[in-house]
Order: sequence, then C-alpha cells, then structure tokens
Amino acid sequence: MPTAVTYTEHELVTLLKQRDQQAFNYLYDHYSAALYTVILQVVKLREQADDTLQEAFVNIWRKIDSYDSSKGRLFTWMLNVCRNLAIDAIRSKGFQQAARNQQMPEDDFFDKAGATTALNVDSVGIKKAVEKLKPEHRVLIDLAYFKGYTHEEIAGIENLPLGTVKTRIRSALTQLRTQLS
Amino acid sequence: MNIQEYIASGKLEACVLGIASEQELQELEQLCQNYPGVKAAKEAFELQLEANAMANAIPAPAHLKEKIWQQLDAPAKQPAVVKSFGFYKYAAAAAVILLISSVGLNWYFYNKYQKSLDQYNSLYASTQQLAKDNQAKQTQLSQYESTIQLLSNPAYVPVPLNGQPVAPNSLATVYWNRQTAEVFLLSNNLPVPAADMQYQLWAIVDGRPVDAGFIENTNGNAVVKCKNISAAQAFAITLEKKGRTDITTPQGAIHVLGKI
Repeated sequence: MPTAVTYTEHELVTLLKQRDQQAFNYLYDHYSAALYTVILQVVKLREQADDTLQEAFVNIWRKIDSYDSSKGRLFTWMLNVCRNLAIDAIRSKGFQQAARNQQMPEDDFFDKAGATTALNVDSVGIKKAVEKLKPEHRVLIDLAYFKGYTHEEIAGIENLPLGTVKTRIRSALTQLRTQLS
Repeated sequence: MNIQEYIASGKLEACVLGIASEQELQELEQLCQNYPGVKAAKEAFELQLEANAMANAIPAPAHLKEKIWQQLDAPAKQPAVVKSFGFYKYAAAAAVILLISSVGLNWYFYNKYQKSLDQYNSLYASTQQLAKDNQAKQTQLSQYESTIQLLSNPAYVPVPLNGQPVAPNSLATVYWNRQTAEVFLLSNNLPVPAADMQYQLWAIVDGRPVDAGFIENTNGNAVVKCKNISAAQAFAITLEKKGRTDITTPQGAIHVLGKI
C-alpha cells in the first residue's frame, strides 16, 4: 500500500538518514517494484529474487549513511545496490545448484514459476529498452549489465578483441539512452 | 575536452549503470564539477533510467516488506552486547541471591544447632539425674527387699526396744539370729540426734554392755546391719558423743531398751 505522504528526494534522504521508519516504508512502497524487476531480470528465480530484494532493503536501511547525493540520485544508488547483490546471488554456489534443478527458465520464467500473471520479465523496465537494441549490442549489455561480466571476460566469452568489446559496449549504451528516452 | 563528444561517448551511461571502471568514475565526477552540461546529461540519464525502471514494474510479494522489518527489528531488540551484559547481570544477581540465601540458611541452621545442643545438654543432664535416681531407688528397693526377707525369716527373733525416761516416745526393733549371731536394727522411731551425737547399740551379756555398733541411719523403714552378737539377754541404745576414745563403755543415757 503506497503511503499517502509524498516526499521530495532531499526530504526522503534526510529522513532516511535519521532512521525514520515512515520514510523507509514510503521508500519500499515507492521503489520496491522497480528494484524487484531489475533483480528478477538478473536472478530469474523468484525465490532467490525475493531473498535478494530483502537483503537489498536491509542494506539500504543500514548503509543509507554511505549514500552521497552529490554523486547521483537515490534511485541510481539503490539500483546499483540491488544489481550488485543480484550478481553476487547468481554467482553463489547455492544459486547455481538451484538454477540447475530448475533448468534455468528464461523468457517464460513466470509461467514456470507459477505466477498468477504471465507477465514477461524481459518486456518491462530497463530490459525492455535493452531488448530493442541490435542483437550484437544486446548480447554485450546482457553480459555486462545483467550477468556482471567484465570487459575482459566478455572478450573471452564472445571471442572478440577487448577493444572491440569496449567500443561496442559504449555504442550500445548510447543506443540504450535513445531507447530509454 | 569536447564535452559533447564525451556526452555522446557512452562513458556516462556506463558510470550510472555501474559497469564503468574506477578511472571512468573519477573522470565523470571531475567533469560534473567543472561542466554543468555533463552533470545535466548525467542527471537526465538517471531520470530516464528511473522512469523506465518504474514503468510496468513487477510488484514484489506482499509478505516481503514485513520480513524486511522483522530482519531490521530483530537485532535492534536484542543486540549481542546487551545479551552478554544481560548474562553477566543475571549471573551476578543469581550469585548475590545465592550468597544471601546461603548466609540466611547458615544463620538459620546455626540457631537450630544451638537449640538442639541446648536440648541435648538438658536431656543428657536429666538422663544422668534419672540414672542416679534409678540407682538410689534400686538401692532403696534392695534394702526393702532384704528388710522384708529379714522380717519374714523365722530365724530372726524380733526384740522390741521401748522408750526409756529420757526418750519415752523412741522405739526400735532388733532382729537377732541366734544361729548366725547376725544382728539387724530397725529404727521405728529414733529422733535425729544433734550433729555431734550418735546412737550406739549395746548387747547386754551377763549384765554387762557389749558394743554392737553405731547406728548411722535413724530414719526410714530399712534395717541396718550391726555387729554380730552370739549371746545376749537384752539390747539397748544409748546416745553418745561422737569421737570418744573408749567405745566399749557406754557413757550416755539409755534411750531404748528391750529384753529378749
């Protein structure tokens, strides 16, 4: 249930740093869906995504003091917290075992997970914009952003020179910007 | 530096998305400080990203929010420091309670011990007294037994000694066994003499008095054994001064006398 009160980002950050519980409830109500979507797009398994979102909000509450508003928006900071935790999650041993057991559902994730809605996790949010990129761009953004590989690792996976990977990723990012707007 | 070129390079987006190198991040931070255009472009991309992420977002399961609060509340309610402090606090409290109880119990048991000791001492004393009394009664009883035996023995001839003019109410009885020469005296009524005086029994043999012993116990119903007398015509008791040298001759007055 979204709270009736609304805050400016500055107010919200100030209250969060004062450990204001109402502000934290607002933060969750307002941003949890967007962050959950990104986590799902990385993790793909619902149970692990739930755990990751929980861990992310616990971290946000506890580490709000390390957020510096001069370096970017609150959402950008939270998005990076979530994405980093999600990538940590998919690299954990437990996750890889769970993924093998479930044979890693891809596009039809929600159908297999038995969700009430058959919403495709790739057709919303940031992924929706990524999906519109050219295939050679899309695969690189997928590896770099949703799988967390370094440029060097991607060069190895795609069997491309490192320079080409860097150039293509930057090109993909400028394309992505166009798709987001 | 050509700002437009930088903005179009894709580096800015890489930084915002968290896939840039540390070097690229520092570069962007510096450019943002010096070029408002870069900062504006960065903020515009952040807003685009945020708006896209929010659009048609998939809601998280409803129970997650509560779980997050539970996880956040749990350590706050019982932090480890408080826990360990609590343990020592309770341990100290328990120790104090134990000490107080111990002191209390010691006091209680000491009092009990003292009371028991007093009771034991008084019981011991009364037992001793009872034993002493019992012994006295036993002695008395055996005296009575021997008295009854004597009185019921026909071998003993009772010789009543009647009061004489100096003591008309005095009365005693000699029990004499002619065969064994044994003599016993029963003080029926002999007033207790003065401290320096004592009664002496005499056998009158052929008109002469023969000492038959001093009578120590003048009251009670027990007989006392006297000296053996083989032949006598009468018995008499005189009251004599204690400690006189010649005890074979009577000097005091005759109080009782009886002929056989």
